[in-house]
This record gives sequence, C-alpha cells and structure tokens, in this order.
Amino acid sequence: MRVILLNERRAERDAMVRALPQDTYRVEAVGDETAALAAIAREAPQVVVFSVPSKGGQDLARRLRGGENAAEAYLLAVVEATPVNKELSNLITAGVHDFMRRPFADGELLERVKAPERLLRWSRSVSKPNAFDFSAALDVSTLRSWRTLGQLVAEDLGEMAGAPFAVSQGYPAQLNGEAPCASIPMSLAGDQLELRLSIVADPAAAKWIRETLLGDPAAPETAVRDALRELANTAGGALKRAALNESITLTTGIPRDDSSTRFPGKHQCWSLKLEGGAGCLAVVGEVRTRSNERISAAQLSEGMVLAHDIRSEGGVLIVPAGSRLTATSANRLAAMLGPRYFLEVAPAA
Amino acid sequence: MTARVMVIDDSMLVRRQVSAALKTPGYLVTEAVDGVDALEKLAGLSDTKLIVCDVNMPRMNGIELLEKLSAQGSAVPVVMLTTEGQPELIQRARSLGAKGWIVKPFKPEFLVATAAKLAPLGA
Amino acid sequence: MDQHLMDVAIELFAAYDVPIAQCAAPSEEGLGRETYCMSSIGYVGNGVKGVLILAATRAAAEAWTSAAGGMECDLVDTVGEFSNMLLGRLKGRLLKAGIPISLATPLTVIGDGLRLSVAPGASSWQFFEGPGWHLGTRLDPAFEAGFQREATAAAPAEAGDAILF
Repeated sequence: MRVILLNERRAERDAMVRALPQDTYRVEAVGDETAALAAIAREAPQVVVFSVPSKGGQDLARRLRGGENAAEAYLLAVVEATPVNKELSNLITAGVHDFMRRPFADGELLERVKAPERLLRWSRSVSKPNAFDFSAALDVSTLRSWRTLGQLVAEDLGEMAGAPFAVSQGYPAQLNGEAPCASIPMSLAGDQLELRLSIVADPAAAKWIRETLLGDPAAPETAVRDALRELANTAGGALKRAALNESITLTTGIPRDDSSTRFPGKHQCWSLKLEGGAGCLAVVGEVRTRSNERISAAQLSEGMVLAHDIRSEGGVLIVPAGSRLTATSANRLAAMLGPRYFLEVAPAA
Repeated sequence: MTARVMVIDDSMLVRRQVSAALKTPGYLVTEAVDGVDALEKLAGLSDTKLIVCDVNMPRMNGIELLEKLSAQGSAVPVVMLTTEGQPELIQRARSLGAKGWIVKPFKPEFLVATAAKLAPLGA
Repeated sequence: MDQHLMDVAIELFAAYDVPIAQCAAPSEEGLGRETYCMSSIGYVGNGVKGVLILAATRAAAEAWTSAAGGMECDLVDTVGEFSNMLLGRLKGRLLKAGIPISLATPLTVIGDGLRLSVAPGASSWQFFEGPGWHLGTRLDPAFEAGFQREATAAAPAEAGDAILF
C-alpha cells in the first residue's frame, strides 16, 4: 500500500515513517504541500496522511484530494489535541475520512492506516462478488447445463413424446399473449437464487397434449394444465441431473400453473417444435434473486428450503442444506427444534 | 389372478401413464395424490402388492412416506418413480426399504418388468 | 486419490489462466525455507478420512491473489480459498469414483519457514510449479478396514434408468 506522509515537523514525520512496517507500506514522507502534490502526481497513493496547519486545513485537504491520482485516496488528518471551532466538520466536508489527535499513542497511526484496508474488504464483500467471497452468488450463466437447457429439456420431453423435438433458441413468435404455462421453481438457497423453468404450449401443442399424452381429444383444460405441469417437472429433472454433474445441487419445488406473459427474472428461451408441425412448446429458463429469511423453527412451513444443515448438539446431521420442507417435515422440525431455534431459509416459491 | 398396485403422484398425467402401463398386463391400479392421501387409502386396502411412488409431492413427499411405511412395518415393496437422480437420495430410499428407483420419463416396459419382479401376477 | 488431486490442481489453476506443471520435490530444507503459507482442510467419508494440506511459497500466494483480483492483505484468505476450491473439485471427482466425502472449513497459517510433520501414510507430497512459484499438496487418506467404494452409481441416475435394489 502506498502512503504519502505530509508533515512539516521532521521529528514527528520520521517517527511516523518508522511506525509503518516497510514490508507492508511504501511510504513517501515529505515536508511541504508542493512535494506532496508531486508525489501524488507521480504515483497514486491509497492513503494520504497530512498534518493540518493552523489555518487553511480545509483548503489543503481539497488540494490534496484535487488531483486525479488522489480522487480515491483515503485521507487521514493529523490535528492538534483540541481542534478549533468547526475544524473537524470542515475537514470532513473537504473530503477527509479520519483524524488523529496529537499526541498519538504508539500503534495508533498503524491502526488508522489499516482502516481503509478493512473498509475495502468489507465493501468488496457486500458489493462485488468474487472468487473468494462465500456470500457471492453463483453465476448461473457459467453452468453448461444452464446454457444448454433447451437441448437438455428437448431430450427428456422427446422421450415422453415418443418423438424428437427440433430445438431453436428464442421464444416462439406465435406465442403472443396468454397461453397455457406451467413452471417449476428450483432453489439454490445457499446462493439466494431461484431458477424457474417454464413450459408454454401453443394451441397446436395443447391439442397434441390432449391427443397424444392424455389419449383423450376431449380432455378438459384442467387435464392439459396438469400435463403441462408434468412437462415442467420433467424439464426440471433434466436440469437438476445435469447440474449435479457440475456439482451444483438444485432443490426442486412443486410445478404449478403460471403466467406466460411475465418473465421478470433474467431469462433465456428456446422453442421446441414437434414433428410434422404438431405444435410448439416454449422453454423459458429464468434466474431470480430471492433473499433468504431468518425465522423461528415454529414458523417453518411447506415449500421453504433450508439454507444450511441442521445438526444436533452433537453435530449429527438431522436435515441437510437444500432440503425442501413439506408440511410433514416442517411440523416435525418445529416440534423438534422449538420456537427459540432460528434458521435461515429460502422462502417458498 | 390380479394384483393391486398403488400409484402415488401429484401429477394426474403420471398416474394415468402408470395406470395404462400396468393395467395392460392385468394389474389393478389405485391412485393417490400424495403421501398423506396414500396412507389413508392404504389403511383400507390390505391387498396392495406394490407401491409406485413419486418423491417430490406436497404435504408428504415420497421419502417421508417411506419413513412412515417403514415405521409401520409395512412389507409392501415400494418403487420410487421420480425425476430425481441424486445418488444420496437413491441411497436414502434404499436404506428406508425401497426396492427400486425409476427416473422419469420412464419406459413403460421397465415399469411392467419391475412390477412383474416385485409383485408377480398370479403369485 | 493422488491422481485425482493432481488432475484437479491443474484444472483449478487453468480456470484462472495460470498453467502449472508437476515438478520434482524441492529439498527438505528448500521446502521448509520457502513455505510461507499452509492451509489444511479435514475431510471424512464412509470409512475414509484425512486432511488436505496445501503449502505454498509467498510468491504463490501473491500470484493467486493477483490472478483473482484481490489485495495483498488477502493472502491468508486466498490460500484458504484455493485449498477449499481444490478440495471441492476433488469431492466431485471422488463422488463419481464412489467415494463421497464431507469437508471441514479451511485453516490457514502464514509465517516464514513453516514445516509440516506427517506420519507415513497413503499419500505423499505432490509438487507443482507455476510462473515463479511453487506449491505442494498432500491428501493423507486413512482408510478403515473393510472400506469399499459406494455400491450405488456415483453419477446421477439418468432419465429412463430403472434400478432394482
């Protein structure tokens, strides 16, 4: 970390240099503003520590911060024991981040200079997922199983249909407006994500469902929707098994009727055409973020997905992370754990 | 002679497909929509020779049903019919006494062969 | 298991565009003198347990941190994370090989001249070199008497599969 020290008091300046370990900090110590600005212009510092003069401290702070190289530097002002009037608030307005009062104790400068490192790490962990952040959500687009979802689903649905589907990317043009749609939610509770697979049928596909899958051309709408739900279930199974090969475990929910006109999450679509123009199904894969909730065991209910393992006091696994609760298991856990036990869950889809 | 099979799945389509596959060789098929419904019906059907059961169902899933049946000391063989393929889940079902695992979409001839092995007609 | 470890190590670093290659073991003194950080993660399966050890030079820790966009102060975290990722990849391979394992959280230490004392086991050090740095790993699995690979297929069952127990 590069640190610029501006202090006209030589003895104090030398002491400050000695207080910062050389193997961690590259310190350039200067005695006046001109030298400080030149040092900043040469190489951007992460931290600027400067002694506040008796007058014009606010303007000095602005000039130190003014250059392009110092725009993101952490400014640490060294002030007298009893700063006058509104000196501190004026310095804050000018862009100073922290203060040290004279005389400063041993080690205080080092701790103050370490503060921006801690803040940067915290800031990265909450705003910028990276490879080293346990809380960073999985980037689903990197999964091969997600990228080839259309083909995966087509293979399994083709088995059901007894004939292959022709797959192409994109939402079928003929599917405008509302159409029969079923979806299945698939939870990644640990990553606070929900994948949603939807299957939409055009009128010809709905006819095919009646005649071929149900074997009843007069089958009611409810039967068609039930069949579509099972198609969504099959699609979800195909994705889940493929994701398992990439060491990603999805928790499958219960398929349900859904709307074909709203896909609010980040999504991708495929068109699956039945042989001989018998109809077309749309496959839509969506990624939605779903914040987990921390709730009492007494509030567990069907459909929630556990975000972490539940273990006994002895460490024995009772229920693994990723388990989807049914009414049966929710009641059992509530009775076993009691209302004072809190857990993190993904809410029911 | 016939044998009764109970198919448990929240999807009517699957229940219909299993029924169609098993009625052809002569099985008698009863349907249930989830584990709770199945337990209620099984209590009144002592001649059930085979259970074909989904895993992911509302109210009580297939694994929980296996736990219940095992606790009751049921001797009726259970075959899971599901989209799940996780080895851990398969192992869990096996340890709870399940006799087989079929991954959807299923081939009707496999289902019939499984039924013939576990609940032969005329036995 | 050592072969799998070697494969996943090469695979992991390749994912960060850092090609590594197996190399000869440095001398005992060399390893001890250069080792700057060491990470350990325990693992356990049915009839097997052990500890993954990852030992690296400071140059290695700095290079990995840089490859992943971290800061100098992240070296300890970086080494812990790489050992976690390494064992995570190994877990996937072992699952397919019929050896499912569970992992503990990594413990990482840094310091100059770290040395590790290990009893003779089923594993030995595997050394790799990257651009200007070195890395050593070992697994030390201890198998219980009668250990057998899991009987069920380690890969997920496929659509249409019918398994009778």
